[in-house]
Amino acid sequence: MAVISVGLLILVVSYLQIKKLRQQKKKKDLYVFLGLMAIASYLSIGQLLNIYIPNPTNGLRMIFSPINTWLYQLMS
Amino acid sequence: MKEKISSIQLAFLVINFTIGSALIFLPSSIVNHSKQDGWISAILSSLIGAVFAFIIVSLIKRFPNKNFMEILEFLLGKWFGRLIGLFYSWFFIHLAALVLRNGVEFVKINFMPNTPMAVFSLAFGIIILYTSLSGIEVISRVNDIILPISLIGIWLTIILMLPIIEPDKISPILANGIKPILRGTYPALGFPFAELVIFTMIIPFVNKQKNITKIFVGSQLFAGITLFFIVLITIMVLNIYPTEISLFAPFNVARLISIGDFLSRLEILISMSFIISIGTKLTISFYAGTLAIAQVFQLMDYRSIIIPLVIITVSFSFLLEEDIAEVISFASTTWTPYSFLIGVLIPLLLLGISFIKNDKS
Repeated sequence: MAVISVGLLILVVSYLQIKKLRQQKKKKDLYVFLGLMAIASYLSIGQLLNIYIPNPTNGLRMIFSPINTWLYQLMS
Repeated sequence: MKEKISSIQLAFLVINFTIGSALIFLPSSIVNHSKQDGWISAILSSLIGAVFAFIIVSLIKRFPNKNFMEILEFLLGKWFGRLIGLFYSWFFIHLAALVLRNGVEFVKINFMPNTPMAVFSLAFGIIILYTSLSGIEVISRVNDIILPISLIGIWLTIILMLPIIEPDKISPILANGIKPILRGTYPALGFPFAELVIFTMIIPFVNKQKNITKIFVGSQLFAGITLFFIVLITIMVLNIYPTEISLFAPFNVARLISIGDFLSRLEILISMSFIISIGTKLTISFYAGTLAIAQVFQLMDYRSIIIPLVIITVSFSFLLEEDIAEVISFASTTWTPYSFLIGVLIPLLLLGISFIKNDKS
């Protein structure tokens, strides 16, 4: 149910927006919109269907938490 | 760039943004490290935060006719500048998702524990959709009205707390030397103050750029003082250990207000202020993220990409962390160096490069 409603929402919004952008002949805007909408539908529908989504938080943790530990060692 | 805001409106935005989610989450994160000296850490961090604000505003002031993405491209070259610009856009959207999550968790845990999180996320999502479609002028005009309400809520809570404070809770001062204070200052620098880098996207909208350094730094300091009083009152009323372990320490403090047996349950005042300032912080960071992406790709109108970005932000607010404990652990182990890199180191580097480039030409 949730998946269908989110999917319908995305389809309707994309249809209206693409029509508008093509009328105004904003090519670059159209491409960026399509790319972002693809990411958005992957994230939202993927989450509802429990598809694997790589979590950026893990990468950030891996890079920055050693620096954090090191800085705390400096201050203790 | 057609839209314009006045410098007073910028000051109001800075105050509301800096207080933002720090209003509720700052005391625990400071007191965790610096114990009864947390109030010194709060002062120290807002003073160092003023330096951060100064760096950001002087970088923008060197290029009066360019927006931040154009500055990046000018200083770092076309492709590398755009890459860093994308990194900044990601940071703004990430910040928006985290703030959204904080607000949702606050409402869910304290007021409506049985309602699913999606309800609040969607409500906040509709707010950011509507405000960012209306543009920065409307955001700042709304902020002019709601910031005084939020400040009245905060200061009224502080004043009503005065009968039950115990000033000896903050002694002994400097019992363990300077190092615990530094350790407490460090997360406070990353959490509200390094995030001020978002105003690189907002400052170019201000119509009179003349006194902007004074106004920007001054309003940051005003917010810092407010946060200082919040931390001080939390330590004096709750004592150290309860402040460390509670999720929403100032909210728990406000619960203790009871004047003459009939004026009680005034925690709603500070919740109101929190929802107002978190809404503004969310709106500003989302708006800045949208604008950053539009400027990186040189779109004609940022409004055409708002709807996918709202969906992305709301999904990220669910996806990034499992629960409130993970949110807080992320904020305490990863957020500070991450926001230091984006909010302080890169602007400082850009400022240096701009000086070198000026000397050559």
